[in-house]
Amino acid sequence: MSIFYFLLRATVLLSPSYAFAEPSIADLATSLNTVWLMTAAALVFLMQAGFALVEGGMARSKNTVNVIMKNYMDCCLGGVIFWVIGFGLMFGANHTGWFGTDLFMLNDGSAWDYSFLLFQMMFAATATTIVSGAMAERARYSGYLIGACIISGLIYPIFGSWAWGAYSSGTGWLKELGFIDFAGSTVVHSLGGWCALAGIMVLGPRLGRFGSDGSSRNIAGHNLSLVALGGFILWFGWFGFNGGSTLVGDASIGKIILNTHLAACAGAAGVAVFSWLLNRPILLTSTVNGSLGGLVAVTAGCASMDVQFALLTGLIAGGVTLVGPALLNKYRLDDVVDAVTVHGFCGAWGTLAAGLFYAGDLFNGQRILVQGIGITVAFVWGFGLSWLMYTAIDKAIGLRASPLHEQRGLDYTEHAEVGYPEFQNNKLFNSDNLAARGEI
Amino acid sequence: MHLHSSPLTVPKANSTGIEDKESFMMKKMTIANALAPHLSEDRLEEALIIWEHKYAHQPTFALQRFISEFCDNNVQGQRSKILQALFLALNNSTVTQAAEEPAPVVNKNIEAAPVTQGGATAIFEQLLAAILSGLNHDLNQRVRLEAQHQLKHLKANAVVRRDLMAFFSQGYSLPTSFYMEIKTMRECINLVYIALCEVLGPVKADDVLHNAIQRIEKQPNNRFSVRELL
Repeated sequence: MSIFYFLLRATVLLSPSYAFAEPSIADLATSLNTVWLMTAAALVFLMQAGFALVEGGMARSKNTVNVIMKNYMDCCLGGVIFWVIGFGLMFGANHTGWFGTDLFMLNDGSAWDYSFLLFQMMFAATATTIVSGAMAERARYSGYLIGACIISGLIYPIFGSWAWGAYSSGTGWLKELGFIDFAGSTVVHSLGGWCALAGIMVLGPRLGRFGSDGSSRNIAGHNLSLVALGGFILWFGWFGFNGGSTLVGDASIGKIILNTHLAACAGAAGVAVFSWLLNRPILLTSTVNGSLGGLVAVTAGCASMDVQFALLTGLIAGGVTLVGPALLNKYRLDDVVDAVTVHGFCGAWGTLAAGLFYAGDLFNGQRILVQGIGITVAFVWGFGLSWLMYTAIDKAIGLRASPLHEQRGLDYTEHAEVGYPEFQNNKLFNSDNLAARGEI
Repeated sequence: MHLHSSPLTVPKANSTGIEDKESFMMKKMTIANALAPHLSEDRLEEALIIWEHKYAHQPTFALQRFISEFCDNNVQGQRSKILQALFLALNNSTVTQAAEEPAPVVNKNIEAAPVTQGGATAIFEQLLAAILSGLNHDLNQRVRLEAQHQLKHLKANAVVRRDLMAFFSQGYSLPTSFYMEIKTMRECINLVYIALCEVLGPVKADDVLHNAIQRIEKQPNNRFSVRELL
């Protein structure tokens, strides 16, 4: 609290207007909002590190560098693309309800415009990076990055303009219908999850992931400590993700963050309870995914739900994170980090829950219908367009790494380095002369 | 062909033997490549067996008789074309060999001698055998079957394919005349790795391949690094 007060005072004292006059209430409010929004943006940025740790830990050691590189570049390329085109499409003047038409390459905005742009840029990076974990260990770096740029610059912002547009003038058509998605269970997470689903369908499973008899084989991640640490960092970052979505530093933040936290707790608890009921071991990866599922689910309704319903939403999301992977396995869909379940399925559930558990107006049929429309449209748009995109990339330059590269590991074949050079002992490749042979 | 006496045993040859073997293999490859566009896989195989048994050590002009022997009515019209292709290929091969022949070295250090194809083939076969010997009987059979299935994807000529099929299906050693480029050997090892992944799953496949590599590396006096095949 004291740090926050200090930051606020410093902002006010350093502002040019302070030298001449006492700041007005409006100035103070803007300063407070800016400080809060930038703090939240920094927290959302930190989520990239969380994703990198979770995904890196869940991949085998020979593919760790590759998946972390994808996370890193999602943020970098996605940020630039979002500034160039995404922000304008998503938040520019939207008079048709379908996409924005200005604010591209924003360079002459107000101080608040830049703050808002930065915060939204972090959201775009989050939506994009969901895909990398699902497609890990067999997707080529170049093909993946092209897909990431299209998601950041087109797929995510256009859907976002329907649900959240616009910032300057006009309204998105879903928003007009009354669609509730406070911080992006659907706009960010489900959409990312559906893109991931399309990606893994086009890519196919990793070598040997499913037996010829249809059995599913577990491919354990190489470092569960990283997974747990990543889970904690994501959880921490989510306080900025949901809390910052108020866009103002007001009193509502407390309940939003409390709802966020409790849903995460309940998600992990849900995994424990359902695992126990199903007589399954309670795995660390499932527990982390349970809490993440809770966080994703509560994101839509954290500002409009009472606390007990936030908890219930998280608890059910925990169950979803157990059922989802089994469903995907049944259809031989290989999702390395269960991103489709955590972000796609839990996001859809959370969006529905936001309609079901709307404070003061529970189970309103009209609202539930609108939520259903939003969920369905997100699936059709996100999955459909991504499937076309990944199929086109696959045909044009190849999306799938060769089996030889899968054997050697994508760290070396795609990046010419390995995550653990002192321990991997050149296991399945010859590091001495791959480059000389022109094979990387 | 002979059955394996031990999973890691392959015929050994002295240095002169290896040179002869290499020359023989090169010649056989050249003939196979020259005939391939004109003959079906089965006919090519048959032709190479005839060549190996009767004409491998005959002078070049004897090739006319060789062609007469395997040319039936189906390819009779192409006889002169085939002969021309064969002469041309063998001629080019001789010129290339002569150009690549290193200058004589006085007091040549045996240890520093360049890696030979024979050494690569031996290690290649040892690696395949080591992979298979790391499995129990049931898994061994399943991997062999899957490997045969995967070999369809190998870009190699009919003879190489036949020899590899015999290796996986019957447990035969690779013949002394076996020749495959190192790049193709890598592809073949990768196909076996895919077979391991299909049968055992990728985690165990990595372990089996890793253990096999270690076993080969522990052997004394390897003349070729097994990692070149990865």
